[in-house]
Amino acid sequence: MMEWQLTLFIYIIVLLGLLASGVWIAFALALTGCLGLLLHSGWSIFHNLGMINWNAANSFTLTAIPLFLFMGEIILKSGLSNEFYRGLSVVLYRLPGGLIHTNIMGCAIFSAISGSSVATAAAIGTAAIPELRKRGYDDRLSLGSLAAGGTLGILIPPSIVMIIYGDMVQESVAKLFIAGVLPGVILVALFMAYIIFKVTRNRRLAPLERMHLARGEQLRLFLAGWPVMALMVFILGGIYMGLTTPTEAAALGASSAVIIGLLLKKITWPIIKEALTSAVRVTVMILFIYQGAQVFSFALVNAGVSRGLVAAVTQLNLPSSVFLIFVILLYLVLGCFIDGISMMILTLPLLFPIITEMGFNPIWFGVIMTLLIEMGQITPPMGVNLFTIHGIAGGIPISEVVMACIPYWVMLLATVLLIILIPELAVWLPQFMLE
Amino acid sequence: MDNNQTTTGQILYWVSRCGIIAGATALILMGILITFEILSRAVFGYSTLVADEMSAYLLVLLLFMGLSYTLRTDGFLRVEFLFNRFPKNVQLVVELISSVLSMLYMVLLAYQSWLFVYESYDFGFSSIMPSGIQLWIPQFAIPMGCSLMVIEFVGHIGRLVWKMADSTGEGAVV
Repeated sequence: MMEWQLTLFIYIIVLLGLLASGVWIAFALALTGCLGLLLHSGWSIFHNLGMINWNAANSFTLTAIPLFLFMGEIILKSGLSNEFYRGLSVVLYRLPGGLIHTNIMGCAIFSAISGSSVATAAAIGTAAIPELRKRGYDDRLSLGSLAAGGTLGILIPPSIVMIIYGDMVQESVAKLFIAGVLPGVILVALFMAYIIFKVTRNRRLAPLERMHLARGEQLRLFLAGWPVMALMVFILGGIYMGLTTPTEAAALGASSAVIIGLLLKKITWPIIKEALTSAVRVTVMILFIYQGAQVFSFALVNAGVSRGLVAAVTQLNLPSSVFLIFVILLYLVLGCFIDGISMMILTLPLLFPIITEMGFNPIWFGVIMTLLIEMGQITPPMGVNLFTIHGIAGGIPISEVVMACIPYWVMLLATVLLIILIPELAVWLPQFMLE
Repeated sequence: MDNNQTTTGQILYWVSRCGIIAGATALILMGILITFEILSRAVFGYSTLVADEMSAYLLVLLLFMGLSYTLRTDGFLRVEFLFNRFPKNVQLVVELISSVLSMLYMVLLAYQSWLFVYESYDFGFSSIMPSGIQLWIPQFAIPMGCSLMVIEFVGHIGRLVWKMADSTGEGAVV
C-alpha cells in the first residue's frame, strides 16, 4: 500500500498534467479519480461509480442551479433587464459618475435574481455599453465597473457558487446566501465611492448628466423596471423570512419570470426554448465538474489522503492566520488559470477537512471563498467577466478591460481582509433568519 | 459537405437533440412541480410530499440526458491557458487524445451504471421517501445518458479524425 503522501503527489501530477493539456475539467477530475482508485484498490472498486454519480446528482439543493439559470436567461432574453437598467438610471444620474453608478447598482440588484456573474455582467453590460458610449463616458471606467460589478452575481444571493459549496460541505445554503448580503453591500458602497472619487478628480471621465424628461416620464421609466425588483423581493424576502428554501425561491422566481414575460408580451416560445437550452447546457457544464470531483474526492478518501493530510497539517500546529494566508494565495494563483466554480470543486475535498479541523466557521469561509472566486473572475488570463465584457464591448483590447479592473480587484481583496478581521460582517445577519 | 447530411450525422444529431429535449422537459417539470408545491402549501395547506424527491430525480435526468448536447455544442470547460498556445495541429492531436480518454471514462461509467441500475431492479430497491418509487426508474437516466454520450463521443472523435485527415488532404465524411 502506498503512503498517502506519494498518492497525493501522483494525484496532483496527473490532475495538473491533464488540466494543462486541455482535457475538460470534469473528465480530468474523474480520470484522476479513476486512476487513483485503480492503483489503490483495483478494478473491483469501480463498482461504486454508479452509486457515486447517483448520490452526487440526486440533490434537491442543486436543483436550484438550473432554475436560477433559466430565470436569468428569461430576464436577459426578454429585454426586461434593459428596462430595469433605464429605470434605475433616472434615480442615480445625479451622482458624480452618473450612469456608472447605474452599472454597479444594476449589477447588485440583478445579482439578487441571478446566481451567476457572467449572466449579471452580460445582462447589465448589454444594456449599458451602447448607452454609455452614446453619452461619452470614458470606456475604461465603464468597462471596469461592469466587469467588476458583474462579480457581485455570485456574492449577493442567490449564488450558484454558494449552492454548490453548501451542498459539498453540507451547510445551509439559505444561511450562506444571507451571509453574502452585507459583504455585497460593502462592495457596492466601495465601488460607488471609488467612482465618485475618480470622477471628482477627473471630470472628463463622465459627462454631467442632465435629465430632460418630465417627472411623470421619469417615474414611468423607473416603474417599468418593476419586474426585476419584484423578483428580487420575492427571492430574497422568501428565503430570509423562512417562507421558501433557496430551491423553492428559484422555482418561484423562474415561474414568475415566465408569467411576467408572457403577460408583458416580452417572451415567445422560441425565447423560452433558447433559455431552456442554455440553462440545461450551463447546468450540465457545472454539475458534471461536480460529478467528476465526487469521483476524485472518493479516491482521496479511499487512499486515506484526506485523513493523512488533515493529520499532517494539524501536527504542524500552524497558526490559523498562516493557513488562511496560504489559502488566499492558493486561490489567487489558481484563479488566474481555472474558472471559479471548478477551482472551488477542485480544492474543497482537500481543504475543507482542514478548515473544519482548524475551527473556522464554514459559513464565514464560504463567503471568503466566494470573494476570492470573484477576484479570479476579473484576473487574467482566465477571468470570465473580462471576456464577457470584452465580447460585448467589441473592438476594445482585452488589456483595457484588465487595467480597468485592477482597482476593483484591490477593493475585493480589501473586503476579504475586512471580513477576516471582522467575521461578524458575514455571520451576523444569518443569526436573525427565520427557520 | 455538412456532417448532418450523412446517416451517421443524422443519428448523432438526433442523439443530442433527444438529450436536450429530455433535459429541457425535466427543467420545465421541476419548475412546475416545485411551484405547485409552494402554492398548494401556501393556499390550501396541502403538500404533495414528493416535490423535493421528484425534482431531485428530474435533476439527474437533466444532467445525464444533457451530456451529449453539451459535448456537441462544445459546452464543457477546459483550462485553455496552455491549450490555446499550441499550434493548430498539436491542438487537434491533444484534443483527440483527451476525447479518447474522456470517452473511456464514459464507457466505464455507462457500464458500471447499467450494473448499478440492474442491481436496484434485481433487489427491488425502492425509495425510503414518501413516494416509495422503485429506484431503478430515476436511476435509469444515468446509464441512458452516459450511453448517448458515448455515441456522441464516437461522432466527436470521428469529426476530429476527419479534421486531421482533411488537414493532410485526405478528407473523409463522418
